Order: sequence, then structure tokens, then C-alpha cells
Amino acid sequence: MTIGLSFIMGAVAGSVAYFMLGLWWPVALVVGIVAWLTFGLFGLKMDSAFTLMSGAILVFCISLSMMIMRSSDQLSSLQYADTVDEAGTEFRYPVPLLGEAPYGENVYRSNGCSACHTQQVSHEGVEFDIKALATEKNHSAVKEAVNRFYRVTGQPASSGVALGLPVGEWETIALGASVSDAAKARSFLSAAGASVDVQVRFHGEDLEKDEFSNPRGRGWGKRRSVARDYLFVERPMLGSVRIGPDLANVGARLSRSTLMRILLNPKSVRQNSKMPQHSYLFELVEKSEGKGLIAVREGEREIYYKPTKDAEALVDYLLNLKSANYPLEEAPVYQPFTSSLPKPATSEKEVEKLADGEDIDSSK
Amino acid sequence: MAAKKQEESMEQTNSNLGGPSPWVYVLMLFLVYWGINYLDGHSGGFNAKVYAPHKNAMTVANLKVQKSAEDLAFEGGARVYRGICAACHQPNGKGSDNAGYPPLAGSEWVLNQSPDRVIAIINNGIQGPVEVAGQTYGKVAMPAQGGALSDEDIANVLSYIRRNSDWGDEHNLSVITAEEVNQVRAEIADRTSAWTAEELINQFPDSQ
Amino acid sequence: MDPREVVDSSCKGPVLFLAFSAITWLLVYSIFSMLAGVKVHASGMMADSAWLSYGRIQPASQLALQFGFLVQLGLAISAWIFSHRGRTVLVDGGYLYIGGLIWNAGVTLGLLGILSGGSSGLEGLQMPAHILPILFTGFVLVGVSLVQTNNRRTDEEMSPAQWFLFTATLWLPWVLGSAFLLIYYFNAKGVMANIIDWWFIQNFTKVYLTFVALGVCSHFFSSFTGRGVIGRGYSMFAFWVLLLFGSIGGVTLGAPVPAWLPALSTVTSVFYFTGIVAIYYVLHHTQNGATAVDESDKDNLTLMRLALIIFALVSVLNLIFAFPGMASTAEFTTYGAAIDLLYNLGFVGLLLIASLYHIFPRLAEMGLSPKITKVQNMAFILGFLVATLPSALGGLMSGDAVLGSGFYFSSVGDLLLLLASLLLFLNFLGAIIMVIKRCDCLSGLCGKQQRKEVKA
Repeated sequence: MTIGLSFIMGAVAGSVAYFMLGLWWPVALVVGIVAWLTFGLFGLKMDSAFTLMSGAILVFCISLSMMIMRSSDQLSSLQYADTVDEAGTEFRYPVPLLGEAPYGENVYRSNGCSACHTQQVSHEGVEFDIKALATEKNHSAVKEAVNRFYRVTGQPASSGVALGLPVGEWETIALGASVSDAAKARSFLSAAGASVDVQVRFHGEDLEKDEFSNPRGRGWGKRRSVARDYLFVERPMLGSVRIGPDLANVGARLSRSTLMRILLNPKSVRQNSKMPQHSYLFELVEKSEGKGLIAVREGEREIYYKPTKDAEALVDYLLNLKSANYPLEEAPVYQPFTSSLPKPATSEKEVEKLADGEDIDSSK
Repeated sequence: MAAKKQEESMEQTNSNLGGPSPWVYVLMLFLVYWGINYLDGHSGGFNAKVYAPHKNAMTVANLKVQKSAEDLAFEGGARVYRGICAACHQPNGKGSDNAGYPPLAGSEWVLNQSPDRVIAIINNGIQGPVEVAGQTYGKVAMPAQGGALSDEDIANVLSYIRRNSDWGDEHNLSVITAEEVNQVRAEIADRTSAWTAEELINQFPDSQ
Repeated sequence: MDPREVVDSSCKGPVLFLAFSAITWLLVYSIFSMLAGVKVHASGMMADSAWLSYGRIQPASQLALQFGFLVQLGLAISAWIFSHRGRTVLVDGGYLYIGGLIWNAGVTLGLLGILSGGSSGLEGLQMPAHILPILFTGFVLVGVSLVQTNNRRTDEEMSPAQWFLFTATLWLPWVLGSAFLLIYYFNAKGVMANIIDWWFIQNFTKVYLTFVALGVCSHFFSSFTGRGVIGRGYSMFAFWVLLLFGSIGGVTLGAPVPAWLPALSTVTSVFYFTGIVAIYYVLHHTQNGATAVDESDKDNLTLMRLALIIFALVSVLNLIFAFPGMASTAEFTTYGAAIDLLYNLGFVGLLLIASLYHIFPRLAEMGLSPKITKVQNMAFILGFLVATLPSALGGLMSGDAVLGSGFYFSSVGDLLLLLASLLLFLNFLGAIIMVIKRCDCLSGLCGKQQRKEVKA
């Protein structure tokens, strides 16, 4: 190979090593030089098993360091985070499994539930709604800021602002703005002294359903799953196929009795379920005494099943799965309003909906 | 037999296609450029805290709840209240008539425009009969809490009890700052024992 | 004596042993796959046994397919190719027996371990932890023989086939061993175990299996058509690009890991595709327009051409679905599993079986029944097409957790595959029984004994 071509080859190798594989720059430089020399001056001879093996070792090390070591550096220092639960109480997240739940996790693992169920929630995008409140004092400054926002972002002005920004009332400045637009709006408006209120809306098919921003949401979680959610799981059973629904947040969705019924006979709970029956987790009992029995009607009789220890533990584990429920720094939860200021007036869309006679709150 | 003879010719390496044409390297350079751009846009800066689809750490920070100073004060006060005050005055602020803890919800002491009296009560405690919302309390003295609380804590908890709309609509008074608390505490710095109701009214007359 | 026959006789025992074990595992895979499909349709069937629950049969079938069938048949064919390309007898063939036995023991124990509830929960590495060292040992023993055979080659120059096969032989133990150590010995915490698992799957499919298949394909295309390997430079380019970029990536789009991992996977997929294009170009030109020199290889050449087409199809699909826009449609549906199966069976599996058809008569000195072979081939091809394509399409169309009728099709395909693997098994069983009857094969493990002269 000519010197020129081999130089290009070396440049490619070095760039790939530095920019894409993110190797330390002297290492990338060495990789580039070595590639140049091997291709150009020495002529890469593939005939020696030694060449092949050393090349393969080099590639293996690059692959290991790029993907494994680097992610290990980033993820090994993960710790608890403080977050709030539904009632507003602070607690440390994630909560380790207690009681029978670790055994239930083993039951989940050994029965291969991850062959059909995933335990990871993802989300697709985020949008912002911006509202502003101007007082008498800063009215003209705020109006100027709003106009500047529209000029800079190229968005059409809201009708309220076009008529003249109201004083002392919340006015919608932008609906469904992108991240950068929202940041601009926030900075312009707060610089002018207005009160700014921001509504963050996530959309993603896995997330909670919302009429405006996420009409196709399946309600499998409030936010996406992140690495911190699996801090205490030894080998997270993330799964890769969703023949059945995602289970990351199932503890917040389903109750104990529903879960038991699903395990015993899924078709009794969901008609078109493809889940096989797991009746080996249950014992047939004669009498209807005892707690926790499941009654199944067959024709005229009632048959009673008692969950085995495995089934109880498994359901305990599933009820503990609430990993897409609580906000984290890297995965905020859908937030209706970001401050405790008096709630702004309903947005235009909401007003339209009211006019159409629909209910604003979506029922599940 | 023919097959076996033919297999011997497989040793000839016919380099009909030759080495990769220079265009392959040009293509690789283009792909490197594309790859760098793609990673710029989608990799979140190789930051451990940025998850798809967020673009970078700033985006994620923007999504955080932007709390105003008032909100932070309110929440800080709520924490202090829950940790220290709620034990006697109850989480719902209604106190307990049996035990002799006066309510804070609807209390004219709390709803006074000036926070000075309440600051004094928190700082040194209160003893003796005191009338709150038409009832007289005094069975139990309130111990001093000033030793454990900083100016900011007292300011926050004051903001909380003055602005907690759950306790009634009239609870929408102003937020108290740490400076105000500091001023009042400096005024009464000599005081070591708990106040009585009359002493409080004398120290902090209504005209303020 | 014809030197080819000396080489063949040295290979006979070990290679046939490995090949036949592999075929047995294919049969086991198809039985399990059939069972798993049945469980999805008739959810009440066999619901009383934990051992037959879907979540245990499905990973067990994958283990049987990937480790039992593909790896072992790949080893067998590699051994034969190394000795023929290098014009040397198979060195230390006894290692193939021992290694093969240990490997088979490992896969069997792994299967039993999964069925009895010991699966690890990690896709791609479902076998219980203590199985991995067994597999590692078995493979390394076989690899010793392969590496030595390659080192004893008469020509210094290595053809691309040898590069690919040699590197593959080195690669699997490194990747398997690292995954084992990192996950179980160094206790990878939380999602790290998944990242290592995805890294392993990527390396196993995109590097190991691909390299084995490309090496086999490259050898047989040039030997069937009588042409030499065309385009050494392109092959070298493809080799390094495929190795470097195939070994990084494999993280799915929505995974709970920082955003740079899926983004990096996308970028490396694009680069990997350039290597695929280069090697496809070489392989295509090697066999383009040529007919098989030997009559008996005509069918095998056709099968290999079909395998190459499937390779191209799957590679293009993988490129398209590496991007977030497309990947989000296909994510978590049956598309991914179906395309992986198409790759495993339609490309690697078909290629290895076709090469086994070529090798077997030379090793065993007798042919397989041509009628059964024809039926078996039809059933196999139809089987994997029907088992995978509707499922993939259904996964794409549904785009969410509610599946359409893809499952029914895939069960029909499974039935065909079961038929195919049964026929293959019986075909080989019959032939091998006759071979064993005819000659004194059991008396010389190292294959250095002289053969009896047998009338052709």
C-alpha cells in the first residue's frame, strides 16, 4: 500500500480510536501511527498466526475497555438517591428487597419469566408548556421578553399575548416547546421579572397515559428505567421481548389477588392472554378454609387452589417492583406544575376540551 | 477425482479485485465524520447521568423542578415542622385539647402579621395560661426549641405555618426570612426562661 | 495414497463425532422449540410441570441451538478446513474427542440446569454459572488441536478462510471466559451484568458465528468453483473492520443505561456494515456465475448461495434497525428474536449443514441418502423461513405487546424444522451406523491407523 493511502488509513484508525472509542489521546495517536506504519511501511502480513493473534488481542482489549471498563467506571459509583414517594415522604431509593421477596426474585429467575416479560421502561421525548404571569410593574418588560422569545424561536404568538399580555393573570406563552425553547423562554421571562411556570410533559408509549401529551401511553411506568433502579439486583432480568406486559412497575399497578389469578389462569383475567398457565405453582385443596385461597368456578362446582410458597414469594417480589414510580435526578417524573404558586388558568387545549364537554382528567 | 484435482488449484490466490480501492478509505473518513456528529447528538456527552432521549446534562438539569425560594422555604419548614413540632401540635396543626397543646391552625398568634411573638415562643418556649382561638391552654409548658434550630430553620417553619393553605384560607401570610428571625433573636438574646403570654404582648406590642 | 485421503482419514473419527453430536443437538433444539410454541397456543397443556414451563424451555432451546449445534458443527468443519487448507493431517485429533465430550457434557448439564430452575436470567448466558468453566475447558481443548493443525500448515500464506476460522477459535474462549469472570467472579453490579451479557451476545453472534460462517463460506466457494479467493485486500479490510466494530455494541435502544451505549452501538453497526459489504463483495465474486466443478456439490453450492443471500438480507435489516427511529418500532417485539433465529439457522446453520453434506461422503467413504437429503433440505429451508419471517413481520406491525398471529406461523415453521432435523438426524445416524459396521473405526482414536481398502 502506498504511503499516502496508508497515512489515510492511519488517520482513520486514530480518529476512530479517539473520537468514537474515546481512548485517551496519546493512545489514539499511537494507534494511528501503528496503523500507518503497519499498512504502509511494513505491509500488514496476515499470514502469520502471531499477527492475527496480536491483532485480535488488541481488538479484544479495545472492545473490553471501550464498552465494559468505561461503563463500569461510570456505573460502579452509583449509590442511593433521596426521592419522594406518592405521599410526599422522603425516602432512600432504591429499597432493597425484604422478607420473602428475594426468594421470589429467585423464583422469577428460575422460571424464566424474563422470556416473555421485560423489566425496563423507556420513554421517547419531552415537551414543555410555558406560562407567564406579569404584574403592573414589569408588564412592558415582560411583553418585550415574550415578543423577543417569539422572534428568536420563530414560534407563532399565542392569541392572549397578541391581544396584549394580561396583567396579574397567567398566560400561556408556549405549548409543546422543545427543551432549548423552554430554556430560552425561562431565561427571557425571568430576566424581565415575570413569574414563570413550566409544565414538563413526557411522551413515550410505556409511560402513563395523558390525554394531551401521551395519548398512547400504556401506563407501565411514570418515567424511564435507569441504572440506579437495579442497584441491588444481582443480575437484572431486563428481558428483551414483550410477549406480556412490562413488569418494572407492576407493584404499583396490580394487586396481590390479581397477580395470583394471573399466575393460576391468565385467561381468566385477560381473555387474549398468551401466557401459559402456571398451575404448578398452586396446590389443589379440598376444603375452602384457610386464607389466601383462590376459588375457580368450573361449571357448577368451585375448586380451591392454595398458592405454594413459591407463588407467595413470587407475588411478594412482584409487588415490590415499583422501579418506574419515583423521580430521580436522571429520570424526572412527569410533573404537572413545577412550583407551588397558585395554579395557572387552564390552557387553551383544556379550554377547548371543556367546551366540547369532555373531562379534562383522563380516566384509566 | 476431478474434484480432488480441482481443489489443488484453490491455492492460487487470484487477486482479481485487488486491494480495497482508495474510495473505501474516503468512505471511511466520511463515516468517521458522520459517526462523530451522531455521537455528538445522541450520546449525551458520554455522561453517566444522561439517558436517551435527553441530549445532554443541561437538558436533564432543565427538567428538574425549578423551585422558587418560597417553595424551598416552605418545604424546609415542612420538614422542620414534621420533625419537631408535629409531635405536640399534630401534623394537621390542630394540637390536642386533652394534652394541652394549642392548635396552630387558625391561631391568632400564628396569623399575626408580625412574626416576632412566635419567634420568641420558638426560641424560649412559653408557659402559663395562654388564649388561643377562644380557648385557654396552659396545662403544659412548651419547652424552648431555639437551641436546636438555626435562624433559617425558624424562618422556614414560620413560613410553613403561616402559608400552609391546608390549615385554612387565612394562612397566606408573607414568607419570613432568616434576617428577620436573627433580628428578633438578637433583641431577646438575654432571655433565658420561657415567656408568658403577657410578657410576649408587652415585649412585642400590637402596633408593629 | 492420495494425500487428500490421508487427511480425510485423520479427520474422520473426531470430525464425525463432533458433527453427529451437533446434529443431535439440533434435534433437541427443534423438539424444545416445538414444545415452547405449543405452550403459547394451548396455555393449559402441561401446566403442571415446572420443567416444561415456557420460561425454562425457551432458554434451554436457545442453549441447545447455539452452543450444542452451531458451535460444535463449526468446530467440526473448522477442523476439516484447517487440515485441508493447510494440507496437513489433523494434529492431536484426540483432543477433539475429549474436548467434544466435555463440551457435550457441559451443554447437557446446562440444559438440565436451566430446566430444573438454575437459569441465570441473563439472555445469551442462561446456563448456570458453574457450567461456563466446563464449556470453556471443552472448547479450549478442541481449540488446541485446531490451532496446532493450522500452525502445521505447509504453506506459510493463510487464506481468508483461515484468518476467519483461526480468529474465531481464539475469540470464543476469550469472550466466554471474560464474561464468566466479570459477572460471577468479579460480581458485576446491577446493570453492568446486563452490559456484559449484551457484549457477549454481540461478540458471539456478530464476531464468532459470523467469522466461522464466513470462513467456511470462503473456503467452500473457492473450492467448489475451482477459483481462487478473489480480493485478498478487500478480505483483509473486511476482516479487521468486522472484528473491531463487531465486538463493540449490542446495547438496545431503550436499555436502562446511559445514552452513549446505544448511540455507540448504532455507530459501530454502521461501520460493521461496511465490512459486511466488503466481504459480501468478495464472496459474491468468488462464486458468481460459476458452477460446481464436482457434480455432487451442485446442491451444496446452491444451499450456500442461499445462505449468502440470507446473510445479506439480515445484515441490511440489522443496519436499518440499528437507528433509533426504526429500532423503536421493533424494540421488544418478536422481530429481534426472529431475525436472530433467521441468521443462526438460515445463514450459519444452513452453511454448516451444506458443508457437512460435502464433507461426510469424503470422511465416511459413503454417501448419504440423496432423497432424504433433498426432503430434509426443503423442510429445513421452509422451516426456518416460516418460523422467522412471519414472526418478524408480525412483531414490526404490532409494535407493541399485543401480538398477532405470528406465533401460529412460527409453530408451523417449528414443525417443519422438527421434521428437518429429525430427517437429518436419521440420515446421519443411518450412514454412521453403516460406516461403523464397515470399518474398524473404534479401534483407533487418533485416526492414524491405516484404513481398510473398501470398494467405492
